[in-house]
Amino acid sequence: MTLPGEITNPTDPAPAPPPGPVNRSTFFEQQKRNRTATWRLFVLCVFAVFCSGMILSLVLAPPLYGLAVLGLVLAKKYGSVPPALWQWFQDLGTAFMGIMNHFANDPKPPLPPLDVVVYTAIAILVPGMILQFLLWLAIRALYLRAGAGCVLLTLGARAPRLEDLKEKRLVDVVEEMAIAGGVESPKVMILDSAAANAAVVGSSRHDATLVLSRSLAEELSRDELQAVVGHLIASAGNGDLRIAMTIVSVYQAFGLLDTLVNAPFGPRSRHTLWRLLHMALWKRGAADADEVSQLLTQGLRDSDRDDLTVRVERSEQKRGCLSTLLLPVVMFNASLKLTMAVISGLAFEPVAALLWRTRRYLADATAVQLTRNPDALAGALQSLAECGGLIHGGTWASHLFIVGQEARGMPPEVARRIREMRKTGVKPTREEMMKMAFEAMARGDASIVAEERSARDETLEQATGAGMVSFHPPLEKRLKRLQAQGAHYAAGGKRKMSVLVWAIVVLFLGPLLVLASAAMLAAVLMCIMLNFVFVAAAFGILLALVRLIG
Amino acid sequence: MEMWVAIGIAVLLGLYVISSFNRLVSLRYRVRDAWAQIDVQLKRRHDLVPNLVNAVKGYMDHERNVLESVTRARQQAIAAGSNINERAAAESALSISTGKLIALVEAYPALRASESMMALQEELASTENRIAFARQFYNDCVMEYNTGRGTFPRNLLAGPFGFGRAEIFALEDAGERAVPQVRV
Repeated sequence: MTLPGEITNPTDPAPAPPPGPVNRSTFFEQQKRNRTATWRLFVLCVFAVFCSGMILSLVLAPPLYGLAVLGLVLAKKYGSVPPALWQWFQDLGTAFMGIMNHFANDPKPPLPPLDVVVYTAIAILVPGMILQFLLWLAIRALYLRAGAGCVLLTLGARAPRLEDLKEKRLVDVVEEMAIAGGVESPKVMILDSAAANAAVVGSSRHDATLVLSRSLAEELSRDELQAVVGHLIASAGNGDLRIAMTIVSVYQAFGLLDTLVNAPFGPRSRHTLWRLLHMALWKRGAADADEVSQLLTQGLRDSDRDDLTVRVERSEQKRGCLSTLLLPVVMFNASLKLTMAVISGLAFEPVAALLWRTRRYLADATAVQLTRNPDALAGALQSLAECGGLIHGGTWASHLFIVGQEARGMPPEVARRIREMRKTGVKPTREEMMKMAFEAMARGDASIVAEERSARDETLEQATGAGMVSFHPPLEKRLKRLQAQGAHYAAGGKRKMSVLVWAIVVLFLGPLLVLASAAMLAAVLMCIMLNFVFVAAAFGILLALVRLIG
Repeated sequence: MEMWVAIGIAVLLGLYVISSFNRLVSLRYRVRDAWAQIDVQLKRRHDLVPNLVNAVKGYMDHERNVLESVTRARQQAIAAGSNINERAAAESALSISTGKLIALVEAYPALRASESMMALQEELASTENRIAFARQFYNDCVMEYNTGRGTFPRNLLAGPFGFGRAEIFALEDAGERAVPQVRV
């Protein structure tokens, strides 16, 4: 008995290799690969957050200890303090001054014993770490309870009109894919936007809502629609919404810290805090929670309009002396902000973005499992690259959409022409596409392009941190992986980077980036030192005042 | 000392048995759920067919035998018992006859363009998709369940605890199974 495909006659020439790409893999392999990658990046992410927390707690330590000592002195004056506690603080202070003396003075006095150094370092770091961890836990618990997850995005959307055949089809496709994934059918909302895009929002798979733009039904075939919806349902089913919430909660915790610092100086932070308290005490709707989240992270984005800065500027205009008195607080606020921006931009955000990318690949592979049609997803992604774009107003949640900034947002007519060209096997070059788009704009079909551009500006402006790394994987790479899963995708000739480009990158940009990062870190260190000096001086004066009165 | 090691191993073994058992139970429930989902979707098609026949009746009076065959196929599908293979055969017969009906509709431009017919066609296409996806999900669940109960060492548990093999929902019609001719 011979098996099919077995070579019976050894003189036969070797059979031709099967058509298609050589490095084929199944969607199961791809899923496994991306799950592993997520875990790896998750560990890295935790490490990055931990390191960031350590640096940040260096900023937090002086005021925290200052307040503690002030409280202790006051308590001793008007009551009693356990002598052990008093002693502990004194010992810590002595050890700290010993270490500082070792580094600051030129004939170096000897360093205290190693265990004392380690103990002091831990004692300095721990209160800040605990504070941050508690803030993060609180805000995460609050948001998990509120069930918010970019629900605001759905406010601009409407319920589908079932008598409209196109929208009925969208709803039908969602129900079909929910059956394919064996999950409960999510809610569907329709966006009337010119750019085609789709997102899944919510706080967990159980309250997921799909936000689909109506133009999807016009631009994509039914199979492609299935693939897009399959990607979103897969994303929700894989638990991406929880992951997104956790990533956002880190920013929210940063924002809360910032708001707390600003709260004594102005109405805006107080308003935010009040809204947050309101949300915590009286259970408010998810949309409300989202709004508070925006308020919280707003302070991180535009640092020159926060309450403290406004207050100081106003005082300077009135020639008041408030700005001098507030100098330590201003210093503390500035170093806190700079530290948060630098560490989130250098450490947290890139890792989080890479982690989120593995989730996109995973959802792609799961969508292939649901539709068993890799061609459909590849086609949909290519179409969305042309007719898709960022949705105006939903840009701060752009990571939840199926395509992000890599979508070009062409006018529909141009997108259609490009698609037709692609179907015949001719891939238009970037220049040709730009030319077509400009022609269309000249004819007055500029609405979508204008909307797209403004949405894009919004993202750049609103991006928290440096925003160097996109949360969406590059389209080419996604298509390549779909090709490995069996999609027939005519890859445009791979742009080979010339030696010159490589040389520029390696010799010039690389060191430049390293230098820039080092400079930023140095700036952060400087800030931490200045912060320490100013805050210590401020508390020194306060303590002297207390003694003087007593 | 040895006693404690023995107790530790026994506890670990017990925990493994419990977790395997629970996993098998949950897999089996998923298979049953998936099967129920196919049922729901098949019922949906059964309910849809009379609407479809009524909608086209006025236009294609002389194609009576096609309409009758659709109605008959529907009745047979409803009457088919709970045996997976029988049902699969009856349902694929119904699917083929509705497909023929839709192909006929294409020949009547007035009918094809009518709003209600378009809605019905969308409904039918969606229902066919739902059935296909429900079947795919069922088969995936069966595969996972069968792999779970068949792989070592869980297969030692599957027998004594009565986890039988699940059957996949296959197409029994020879015509459907034949490789379609695809022009490249």
